[in-house]
Amino acid sequence: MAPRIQSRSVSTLLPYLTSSSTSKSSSIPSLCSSSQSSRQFSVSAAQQTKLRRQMFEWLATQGSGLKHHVPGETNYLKWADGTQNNRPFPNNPNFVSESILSEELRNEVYVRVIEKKKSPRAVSVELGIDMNRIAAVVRLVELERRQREKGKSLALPYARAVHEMVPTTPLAPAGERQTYHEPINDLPVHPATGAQIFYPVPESRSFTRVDAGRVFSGAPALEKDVSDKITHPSDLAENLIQRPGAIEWVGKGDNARQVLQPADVRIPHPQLVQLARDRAAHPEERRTVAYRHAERLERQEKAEKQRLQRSQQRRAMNEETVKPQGSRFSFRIKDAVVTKESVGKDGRAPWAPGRRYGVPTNDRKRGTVKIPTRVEI
Amino acid sequence: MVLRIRLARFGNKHQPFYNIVVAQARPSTHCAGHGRSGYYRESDETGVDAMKENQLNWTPLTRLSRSARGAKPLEVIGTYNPIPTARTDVPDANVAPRSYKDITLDKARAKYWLGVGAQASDPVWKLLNLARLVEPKPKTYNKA
Repeated sequence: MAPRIQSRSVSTLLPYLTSSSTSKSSSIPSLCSSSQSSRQFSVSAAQQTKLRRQMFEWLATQGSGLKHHVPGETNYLKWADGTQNNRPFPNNPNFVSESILSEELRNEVYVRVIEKKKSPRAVSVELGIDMNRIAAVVRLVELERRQREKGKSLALPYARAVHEMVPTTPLAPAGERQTYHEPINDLPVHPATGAQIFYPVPESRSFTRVDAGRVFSGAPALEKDVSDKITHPSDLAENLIQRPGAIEWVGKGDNARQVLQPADVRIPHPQLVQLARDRAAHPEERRTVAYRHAERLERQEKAEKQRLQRSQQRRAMNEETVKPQGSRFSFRIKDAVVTKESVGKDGRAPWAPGRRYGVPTNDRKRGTVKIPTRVEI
Repeated sequence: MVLRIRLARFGNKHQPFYNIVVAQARPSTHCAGHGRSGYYRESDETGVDAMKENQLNWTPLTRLSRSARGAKPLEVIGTYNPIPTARTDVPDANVAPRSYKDITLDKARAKYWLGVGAQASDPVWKLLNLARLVEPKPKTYNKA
């Protein structure tokens, strides 16, 4: 049963663990020794194990240094030689306390993306922060600024306390190289690569990552003249970033899937592979290589922007949002087009707009799976 | 005989979902049997381009049974989901986030049916007004 503690003694005990006996004394050693006398209504001997006694001894000696943290440092257990450690639990070496973005670095991300209009991809490479985190930071800083504009209070003391106690990645001063916050080019494991496939290939044939991707997705091998043109798998990246629709499909109906692309294309920053290859090929021409890289980035960004614009236009064409005055809701009006293809010959095809007549919905039937299998956002 | 554009309720308990349908108005007792002069367009000619008068394929109304409330309508021209969907994106700075209700509507067909004299029910009138196909219905206090 949990120990009951008088409210008066709680404040003095809180920095330490609470003792099983109620005590009015404030220091730990005295708490151990006086535990017997404070158990006023008990006749049995107090249960004081060896480990428990050792714990209180430790708290009184070495552990007392951890009672108050030094601002700007983590309050974790130190190594025997007194050096700082980012593993707070000595018995769990797998738990590593990862650093978080410092306040300045966080604001710098926002300034670069929103005010300087740089692409998240470029900012990610410059500051060494994952692209997903860049997007999250921009959203959160935006939210924070809005709260400030509205005059709402922020939990600043809490944020300050957390930033003092966990490791942070600082923003490098101007002109210095930024330390990377995290690896940015991690390749997520694709479920299609989980299969163990034995695929015999003649020794005379070249078999690259491109071919492996096709095998994993069950696509036929590339024609020889097509595959000969690909000198390195990263050659495909630029074309596919500009035209994602060019990725080939295999399978029919529900089983249709895109052909698995090589890792060089699927990583978040495929252009870095090309940069590294350029650098290795032309070690003397650093400026030319950098120029070519910048050019490549610009081309990709332009293509991405155009694609976004086109998709927005397409959506605006057949969708309109109306916000009536005095209504709590807005209404999204989509244009349904009735053609023979969209509604079927009799106008009542299953894919036509509206629920169908004369077709039973089996959603309440016994034995049917009612757990949703997909989330539509 | 009057054509009506009205809502037809689908969905489950506490989960309404409506089709916006064009259907025969339910005949009142005194006008039953007076519908022989009407015609309707067969629904297999549903192309938007086929809306011109000369291409239409007219069928005498007598071939239709009088439609009951839940019966198959002449045509389904859209849907209305009255359950508001919450916004998941970060709301715009200046506008309070409003959850939205989804309407799908074939505007060309709606215009056509209104043109041939179909009468929208009050709830559909409101939706058609949102889609800017009809003027808002005058309210009682505007009339007086």
